[in-house]
Amino acid sequence: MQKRSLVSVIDDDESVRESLPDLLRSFGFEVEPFSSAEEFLASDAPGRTGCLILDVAMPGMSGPELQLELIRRKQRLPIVFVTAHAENDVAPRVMERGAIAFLFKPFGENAILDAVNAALGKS
Amino acid sequence: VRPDGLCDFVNQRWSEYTGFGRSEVLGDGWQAAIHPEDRSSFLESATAIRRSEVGGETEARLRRRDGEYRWFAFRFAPIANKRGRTVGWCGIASEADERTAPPKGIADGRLRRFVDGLPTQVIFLTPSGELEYVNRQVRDYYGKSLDELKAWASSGAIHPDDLPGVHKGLSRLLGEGAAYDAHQRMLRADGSYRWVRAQMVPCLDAQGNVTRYCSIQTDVQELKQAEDLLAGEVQLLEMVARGLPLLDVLDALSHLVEELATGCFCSTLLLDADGTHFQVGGGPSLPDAYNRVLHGLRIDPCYGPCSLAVNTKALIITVDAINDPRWRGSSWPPLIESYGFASCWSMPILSGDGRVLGVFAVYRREPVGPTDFEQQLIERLTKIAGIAIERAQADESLRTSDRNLRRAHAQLAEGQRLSKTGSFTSDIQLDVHSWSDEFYRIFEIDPATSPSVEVVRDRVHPDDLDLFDRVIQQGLDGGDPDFAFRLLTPNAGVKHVHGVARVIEHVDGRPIFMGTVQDVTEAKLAEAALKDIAAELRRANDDLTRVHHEITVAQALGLTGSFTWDVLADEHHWSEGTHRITEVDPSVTITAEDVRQAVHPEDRTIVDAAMDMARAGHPFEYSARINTPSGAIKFIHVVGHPVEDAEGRLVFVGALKDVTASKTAEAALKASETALKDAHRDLAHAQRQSRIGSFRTDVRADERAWSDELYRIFGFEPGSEISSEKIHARIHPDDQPWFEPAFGRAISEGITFNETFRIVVPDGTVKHLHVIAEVVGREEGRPIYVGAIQDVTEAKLAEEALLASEAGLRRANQFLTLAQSISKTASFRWDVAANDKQWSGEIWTILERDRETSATIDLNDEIVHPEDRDVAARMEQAMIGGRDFDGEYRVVLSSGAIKHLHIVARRLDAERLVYVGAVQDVTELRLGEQALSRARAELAHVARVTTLSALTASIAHEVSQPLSGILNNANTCLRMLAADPPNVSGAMATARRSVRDTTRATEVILRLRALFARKAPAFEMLDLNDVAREVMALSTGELQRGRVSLRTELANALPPVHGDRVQLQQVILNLLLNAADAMAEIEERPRTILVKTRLDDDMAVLSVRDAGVGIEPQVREKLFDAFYSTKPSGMGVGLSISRSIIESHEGRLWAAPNDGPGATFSFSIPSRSTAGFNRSDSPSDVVRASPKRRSRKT
Repeated sequence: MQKRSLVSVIDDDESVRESLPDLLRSFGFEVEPFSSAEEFLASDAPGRTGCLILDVAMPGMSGPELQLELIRRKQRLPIVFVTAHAENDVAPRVMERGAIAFLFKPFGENAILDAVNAALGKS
Repeated sequence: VRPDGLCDFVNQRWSEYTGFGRSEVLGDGWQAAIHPEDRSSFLESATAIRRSEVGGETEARLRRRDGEYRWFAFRFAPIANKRGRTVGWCGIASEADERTAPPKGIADGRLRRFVDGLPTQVIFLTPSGELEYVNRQVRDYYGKSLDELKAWASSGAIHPDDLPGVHKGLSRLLGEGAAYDAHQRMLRADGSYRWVRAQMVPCLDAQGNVTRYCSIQTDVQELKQAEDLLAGEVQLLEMVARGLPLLDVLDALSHLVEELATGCFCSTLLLDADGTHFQVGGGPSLPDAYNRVLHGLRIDPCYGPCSLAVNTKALIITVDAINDPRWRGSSWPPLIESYGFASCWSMPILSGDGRVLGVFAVYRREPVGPTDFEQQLIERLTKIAGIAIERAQADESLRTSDRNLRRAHAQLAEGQRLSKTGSFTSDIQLDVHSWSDEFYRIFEIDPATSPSVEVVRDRVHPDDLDLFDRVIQQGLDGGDPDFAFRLLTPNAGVKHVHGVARVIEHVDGRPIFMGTVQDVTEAKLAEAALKDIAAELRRANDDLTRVHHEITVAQALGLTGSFTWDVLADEHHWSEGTHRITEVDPSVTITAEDVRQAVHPEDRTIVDAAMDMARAGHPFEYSARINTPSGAIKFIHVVGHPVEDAEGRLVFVGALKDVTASKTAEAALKASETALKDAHRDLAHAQRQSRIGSFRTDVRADERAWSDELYRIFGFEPGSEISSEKIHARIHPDDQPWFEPAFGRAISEGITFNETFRIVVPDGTVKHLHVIAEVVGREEGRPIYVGAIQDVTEAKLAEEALLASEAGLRRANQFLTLAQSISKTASFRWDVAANDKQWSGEIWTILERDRETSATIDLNDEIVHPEDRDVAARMEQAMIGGRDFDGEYRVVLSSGAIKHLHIVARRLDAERLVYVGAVQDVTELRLGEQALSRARAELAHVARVTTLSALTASIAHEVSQPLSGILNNANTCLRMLAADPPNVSGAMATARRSVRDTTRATEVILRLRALFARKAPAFEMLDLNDVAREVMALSTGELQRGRVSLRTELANALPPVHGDRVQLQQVILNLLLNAADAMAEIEERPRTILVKTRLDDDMAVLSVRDAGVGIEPQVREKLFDAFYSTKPSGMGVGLSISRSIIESHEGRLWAAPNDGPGATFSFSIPSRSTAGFNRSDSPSDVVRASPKRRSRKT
């Protein structure tokens, strides 16, 4: 089976959507950004993604909803959740459903690298 | 050994050691003694040595005769013939000591060449740790030979700071065999210390013994610097993100630079608030004395490079300060020279939007410029310094907002104290309450007392206890009582309080009340006083009305008239009766000369005499004939009394009476008796009309002939017998004492009897009679009197009424003065043409002037407040233009006090420019309004801050997003720059994004700062769409959290509105959050908010439509009430304040249910085409100082 090496970033915030992929690319990862869960699902990326970096709160389908949808589709992708909301009670829920990590913005370089490496190691 | 490698000779020692005989070793036989494993490499080395022609050394194990192999060194030296050609080789084999023997391989020239050819530094150490061999790269790098290098421990080849670590690592390597891998600074040939990574491992022989140590060294200076810079930057950004104190961050930044660029001394200077002086932000390695000079230094581009960097926003490099022409004449170069510095590089610290925040400067002791690395270092860290400073400024502004919030709470309490309003919350069923300080003060309850209904009830006035109990019962039933009752308090006696209470939530089914109680005692007292005054005025008015009515009736009934005459102004006011008698057209303006001309020429002297009396101020009375326009001659009787009017002028009030009939009667009596008889019938009729009776009396004989009218006047049966006694009995008891003697005297002296007296007729009516009787002849020596008696009751009453009306006027004047004083109102009369102004007394009190020393009052002089002079000028213009005026302006009194005056002027008549008006001192009213408006602004601010606190999480989100981007971009940027080759264009793109995200974070903070600020409302022209967009940007996070999507339909080309940005944003924010709250429980349909703007008939309208629970019809009216809330945590002031804000913008705020689910809240405010202009088509100029101007005064 072919190794899934793509890192997909879904975030409605443009500055994160621009900066995070560039950072990850500078470490040699292949990265594709998406502005919504719907856009991601409509692409061919789910089949190639080895690590999904997913914003929690987005207009339309939220991060946790996408997680449930992927579970329903039996596409268990390793997910790294990110959020800018300081008090967040969704963390325990999504971690229970198998998320790799839950990061609060702004996060350091090492935190996201560790999470991505952990995710890719699993896929 | 021959050149071909075969042996010619071995000495005896060789034979003895190896056990091989000389013959056995010749040729290649000697090689049999070499260990088979070493043999091939030995032979290779030997061959190489022979080819080198200079000799050399190799090693191999040699077999002893007993068969044991031991290490031997084989040295070969060429044997030359006389011509210098090598003809053979002399070899010496010497046994190597196990520990000191040259290690295997080093002597081998091939290995040496191999090692020398490696592109890295290789060092061999003996097992004892001494330097054994270094390759060429090592020698070149250090510029030293092996022997020189052997003294590394003392020669300074290793940085003194790193030396202990090297010793320790070596001893662990030698002692425990632990691999050595360390970074250490080494002194390169060029004299600089550079970071070198040294790795050392032991080399082992077959037995596992250490034969030597092999070390590889790599110059990692650049890599190390890049790593350190990266780590340092990340660490600094983390410090910034964690919000550590700015000075700590700046110190850390300085240390980082000094560590990465040896020999640098760093300084961070910040700009002070007005941007004209420096403040030291950090300079941990600079001399304290120098930092002290920099602190507070004025920015002057001629002084030094830091100032110039601020002015040019560019890096200023000074290589050699003392010789730099730019600072010639400045005291700065000698100053830094005295501290041992030669060069200084100053980099401006810029904010995200390009403002200069400070300067980052690096000093060096050598006169040099920055290396590429140093320049890159300075540029990058200066950016971080900029982020740190902006973050610190943002933090500071948030702290300020927090302080302001706390102060607002304190001021609210002060506001309660000033307005004598206490507040409370109450769980009435459990009898649990909390009271504000002012509540305790109003009820005069000891603040230590635990609140209960009973404590309050103790204070209630006994007469109002039932009322109080009903209010409490209403509260227990969960109603919303409004109440007003009296208190009986220990200190202040009776107090009136007024209050409201509203259920704000339910806990376990029990209503929780929140409410306010206001001490309205003073208002009540003032109200009562006003009622008294009003009653007095009403009474005075009633008096006047009655008097006027009486006069009118009297005049209409009798042939009398009244008049007033202002002697000096020659102004005459005639009553209807006067005009009727004189037959003068009421539209004609009367003068004294007209009066004189009307009089019969023969009687003019009488009138002239009366007028002279009048001009001298005396009362006058005369009878005269007048010629009426219809040609009739009338006898009139005129009485005039002087009265002083309100302005102190000489005015006569008088009455005149048409006495033609009585005069006619007199004339008739003088005619012959026959003529009398002829005239008798007409006379009777005339007498009847004029109520004049005539008589003829023979007093002595007590015989009399009376006309019928006279019987009627006296109330006798006509024709009945009349006696003196009967007449006497009719005379009013008060007049009896004088009447008989006077009549007797007239009779005895034979003179005309002319008196007025009263009679009482049988029905009790008192009549005033005027009698004129004269002796007309004698019958048998007895005098015969004829005379006329006129019933002048009505005329008398009119006269009395006149006097009464005078008293009434005087009393009314008193009341008016009192009322003016109480209401602080002065009246005035202004004759524009004559420039004559008359003031009532209160004006001197209002203007705090002494009536004696300042007789004239003019409001248009310099006492008008400079800002209101245009209003005063407009008033004067209006009045000169003949228009009425209603306006308000301030005056500045000589004491410096400012008073607000409300002035109303009405034009008195259409012909002349004469105004009457009133000036009211409305200072207290205005000050009250201002206090109220301040309290309202305060409350609005508190409400705003409360609303914003609901956005805290959302705001954190709005700041975290760009920070996240900044951090990612910075990391990416560093990585791109550190790549080989550096990805400069990529790095620039990420840097640009960092700048953009910083701007975004800054904008969020700026908007917040504006909303948190407590400023007086500032009206300006605004784009309502912009105002709405800013609020929506702030609330995006909050709406997103509520899973609410926001749509906008903003009208194009919406004309600007006149308003306060912050207040309008508060309203919009309130509507947005309400809309989001209304949809919090909605799951079955999308949660959508639609924000729309449009222009509707010169009004800009903004509406917020939600799809929430909607508005129930019964609460629609209550929505905008204070303290009404549907939210468990709501204070219920949001919409009420929003409405008052919109009303202060001359607009309207309303709510309407949608056709579908949800509700729409909208407000409209005038757009530019209608706002801020007074209507000019109004007949009266209504001018008021605008609210904005008034509030700025405070």
